[in-house]
Amino acid sequence: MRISVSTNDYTQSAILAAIKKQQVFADWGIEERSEQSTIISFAKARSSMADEECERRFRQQLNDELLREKLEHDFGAIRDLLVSAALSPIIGERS
Amino acid sequence: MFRLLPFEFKRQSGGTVLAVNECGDFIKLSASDFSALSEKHFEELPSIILHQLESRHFIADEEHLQTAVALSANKYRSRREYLTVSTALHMLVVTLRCNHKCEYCQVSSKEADAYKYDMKPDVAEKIVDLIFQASSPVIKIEFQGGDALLNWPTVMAAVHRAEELNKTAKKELEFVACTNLHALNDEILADLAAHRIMLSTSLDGPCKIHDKHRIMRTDGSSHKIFCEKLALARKYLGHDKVNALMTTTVDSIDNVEAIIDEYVSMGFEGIFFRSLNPYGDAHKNNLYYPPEQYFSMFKRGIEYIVRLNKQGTRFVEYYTALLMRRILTPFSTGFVDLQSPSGAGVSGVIYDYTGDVYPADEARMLARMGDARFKMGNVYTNTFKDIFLSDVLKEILHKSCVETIPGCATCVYRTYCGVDVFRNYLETGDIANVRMDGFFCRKQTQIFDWLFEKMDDPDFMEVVGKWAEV
Repeated sequence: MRISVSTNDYTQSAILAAIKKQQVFADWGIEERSEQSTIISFAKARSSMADEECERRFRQQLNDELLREKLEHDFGAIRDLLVSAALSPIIGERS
Repeated sequence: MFRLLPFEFKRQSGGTVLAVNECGDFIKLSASDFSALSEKHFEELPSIILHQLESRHFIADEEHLQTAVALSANKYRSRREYLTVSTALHMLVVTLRCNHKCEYCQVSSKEADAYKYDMKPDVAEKIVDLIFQASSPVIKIEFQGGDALLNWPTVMAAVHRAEELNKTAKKELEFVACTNLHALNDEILADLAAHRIMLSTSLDGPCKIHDKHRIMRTDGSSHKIFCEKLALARKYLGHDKVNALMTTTVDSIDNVEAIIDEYVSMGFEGIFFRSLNPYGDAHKNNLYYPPEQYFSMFKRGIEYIVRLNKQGTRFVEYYTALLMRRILTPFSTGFVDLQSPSGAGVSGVIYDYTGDVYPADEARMLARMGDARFKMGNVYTNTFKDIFLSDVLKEILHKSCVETIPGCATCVYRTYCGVDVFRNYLETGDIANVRMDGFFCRKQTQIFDWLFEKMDDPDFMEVVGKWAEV
């Protein structure tokens, strides 16, 4: 089964993240890359999941990965601020 | 104007979206509310949701941003309290000898008369000297085997040395002996009582299930002797001085209710569902099972325990209790496989009978299977600093932060989960390569998915919520 993903709509990192996370349902891989699209293929869907369901889940995952990238941008430096505020007393004690 | 604070999310089967923030607070949102949140269309959110999001630190207005970050940082630090203490759990493999030849044995135990696999008393004393260099105010020394009782002189040499050193160190000192109880005798019972040594034993279920894989080297029923010795140990030491662990085999999967009944009838207050590790004889005998099968047992077992509690029998499943405490409270819960970075070598460390030091039992098992890459050193040839600042341990710490591991970093359950570095290594050859289709991840994900789903069930939460001591 092959799925074509437009590289205008999705970043390579979102595609790779979706592939990694969907390994639980099937064996996924990148078959071809061009400037406009990436062809993803999958085989051996686990359990009795239909190919269409695998594709639906993959596309949902892909959209969510893109959303994660957008959210990460929105969070900005807050995550780093939070973690360094949390850990600086511990690191201080240790050093 | 609100700002988003960092969180991860996952779509749930019922159409809702679960979001968990950096300090472990969570919220379940409808798909449309989640969409409004992620698009920052805050005006579309009902005021009650907006209030929940703000009080749980998913959003903050500019004016209160610094306070929200400071409060979140406090919670984040509380959850990682384990980072502030040095190694507290020290496990000594005092012998590989065992009077059993369990088919799933991680250790690949040896015949009961194979004395060359015994730790010598002077090795044990040397290890204890090293242990007391740790700055941890709590020291727990666990004697493992084989069967720890079969090399009792070495156990007692370590106990005496530790008690001597503790006269000046004044640490909170605990001892645990891991045993199938069969070798328990009057002399050992007297030592256990005098030195307040706890017993950790194994019970896989009723006779038929227990005896299926826990096979004695001599003929007879392991279960029958276990019951006699358990009664003896409780009589001399007290009921609460013996804890039991079960190992899930393919034969337990369909019999979880009978296993729980056995624990209840023997007067245990709880059970710890533990999946089989594919090391040692379990690996050789191909005894493991897919995580889906384990999860189906886990789920049925918890539902059965909840029913028992509703009927008046107080009984706990300790792994679920641990996870619920992680989910529902901001407190630190030490559990080597559920820490980031991994607690292997940091929260616990294991000393082989030769004095070789490993970050975990699994690492020692790998060494016995021919791959000693995780050996941290030896108590005779290396100093405390050599061992606990070894490249092996640094590599584990460096590569086992879920916050940076691809796949884990964006997992909604990251804050509550951890990394099984040795399983990763065994499955992929790389400790940082977490496979979403690997056993650990599939098992954890299914359990978390289910627990979050069950949180909407008041009957379930009335029982399981108490386990987290909320």
